[in-house]
Amino acid sequence: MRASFAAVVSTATAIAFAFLLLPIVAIFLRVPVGHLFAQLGDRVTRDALLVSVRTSAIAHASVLLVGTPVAYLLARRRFPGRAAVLTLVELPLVLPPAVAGIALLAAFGRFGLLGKHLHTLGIDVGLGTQTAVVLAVAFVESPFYVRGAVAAFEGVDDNLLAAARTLGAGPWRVFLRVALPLAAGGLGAASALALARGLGEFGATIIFAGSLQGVTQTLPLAIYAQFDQSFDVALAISALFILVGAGILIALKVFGWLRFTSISPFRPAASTSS
Amino acid sequence: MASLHFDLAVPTRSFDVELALDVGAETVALVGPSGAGKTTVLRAVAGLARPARGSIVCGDDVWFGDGTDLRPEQRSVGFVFQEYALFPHLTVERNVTFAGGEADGLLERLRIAHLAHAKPRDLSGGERQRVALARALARRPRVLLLDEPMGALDPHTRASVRGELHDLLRELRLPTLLVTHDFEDAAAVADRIGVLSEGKLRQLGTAPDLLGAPADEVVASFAGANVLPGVAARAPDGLTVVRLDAGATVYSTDEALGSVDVVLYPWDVSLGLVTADDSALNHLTDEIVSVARVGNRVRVRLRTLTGEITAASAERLELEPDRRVVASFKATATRLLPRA
Repeated sequence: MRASFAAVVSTATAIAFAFLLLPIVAIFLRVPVGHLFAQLGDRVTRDALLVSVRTSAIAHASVLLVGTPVAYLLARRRFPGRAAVLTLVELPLVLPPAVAGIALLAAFGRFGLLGKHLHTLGIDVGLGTQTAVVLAVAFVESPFYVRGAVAAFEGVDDNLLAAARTLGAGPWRVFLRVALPLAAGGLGAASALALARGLGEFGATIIFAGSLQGVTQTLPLAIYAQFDQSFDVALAISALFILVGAGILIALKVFGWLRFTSISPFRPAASTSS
Repeated sequence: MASLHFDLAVPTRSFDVELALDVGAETVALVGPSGAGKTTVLRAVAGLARPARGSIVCGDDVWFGDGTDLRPEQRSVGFVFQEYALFPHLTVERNVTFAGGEADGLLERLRIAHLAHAKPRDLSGGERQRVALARALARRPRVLLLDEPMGALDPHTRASVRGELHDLLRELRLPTLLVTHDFEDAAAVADRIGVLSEGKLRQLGTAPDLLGAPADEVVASFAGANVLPGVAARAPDGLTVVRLDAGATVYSTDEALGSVDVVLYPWDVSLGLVTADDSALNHLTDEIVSVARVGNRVRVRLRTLTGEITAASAERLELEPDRRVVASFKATATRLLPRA
């Protein structure tokens, strides 16, 4: 009985492992690696790389800048409607990216709720603008960051913040000198995860911003645009993503390790799991 | 002269903590079972918990009341938290200087100068406690609040730390509130002791006051006494006889009738293998449940009561669990408290 159970478990593991590994290996084996990375010099790839780096950097910086105080508030304060706010923050997580794209279009598009007023002011943030890419990326990646950041701030012992206050620290100093450094591990992990999600953003971007080479065509959009024209270019970009993704996962492990060594006892986060 | 006056009502989940105290340049210990509201009092004084009503005045400064409610960072308190709440990401020196100022003098004074560059996780319990004290004192507070400062220490460290803390507090002469669940800690360190239960002050006085004349059974049991419920009746020679609920009979010189608690301090109990022919009126034959050494003394728990004798006597009598011994105590050593 025990032997057959072990057999089932190992077989399942082997199947899962092969299923996950095979496509990844295939990307690197289909064409020689040297040729693969030569494709990254392709005009389309270079443009897409620049658009991706630029939009992701701006979107990610905005998410960190706005999301960190939001997460701190949600983690430290109990107020009526807190659960509703938490749910709202997490909603983009479960929305199909295409729905996110349509929603953004309805809000910020030229005929959108806010977009039409912006349009009369001469500001266009919809189709064909890089701002649209930034909005789409920020919309889709923000819950990944805020969720993790709330958990990270909840993990900081209340008494440490109280101690800082009795030592004369005002709210800014408590945040910057105690809460932020102690949550750093968790914030870093959440940030890395959000960045990865933002870089891979496809559905919302193609609907809301379109796929205009050099303007709104990010790396994932370039893969889609290239795969029936130059499969090798699509392969090369995919290989790049695999390397970046692996790098981010390794960074996550390191952050996780930092979190467990730099912050001692402390209660586990209450409302979210990371 | 430094002083702290407060008269507070602080709501908690299960009851309101209501307490009024005048603390001069002295240490007042708040003792009581966990959940009695002791920590809530400290947090309210520090501004970390908001009282429903009342006032907190330090010297001539109003911290709370009459529309004033200073934020914690505006009050001048040194707070030593339970488990110390040292900043784990900062060195000892930077923990102590968090409030600003120089750490050197304080580190020397608390004998932790050699640990200046260590992180809290590398320190022993006793060292952490000294760092927490140094950090609390660095801001030159006008009030000191200590929450279970000895709670996280092992029994050995505890005894020596008690002495150190006592001397330090004498030297500082700051109004100090010390929360502990351990009556012995309180008696060793504080000038006065307040017994708190379910948010109310049961009694406030010196340790001998509380030991000698406990106001009620909560105070008595907290002062470390045996509290034995029974029914009292008159006995010859002006004595009272109490039939304990546990079965035995106890004579007391106190007068009482009906339901009472017999209060008896462990150190008034002597133990022997046979019934001694002495002046003690009370001799209970009972079985030993446990034998616990506390320094040079031994606390022997019997089925009905606990006695405390010297370690030497305990060794001579070869006391161990399950042995039967005779517990003797004088009728004059018992206090009878009518039960509500």
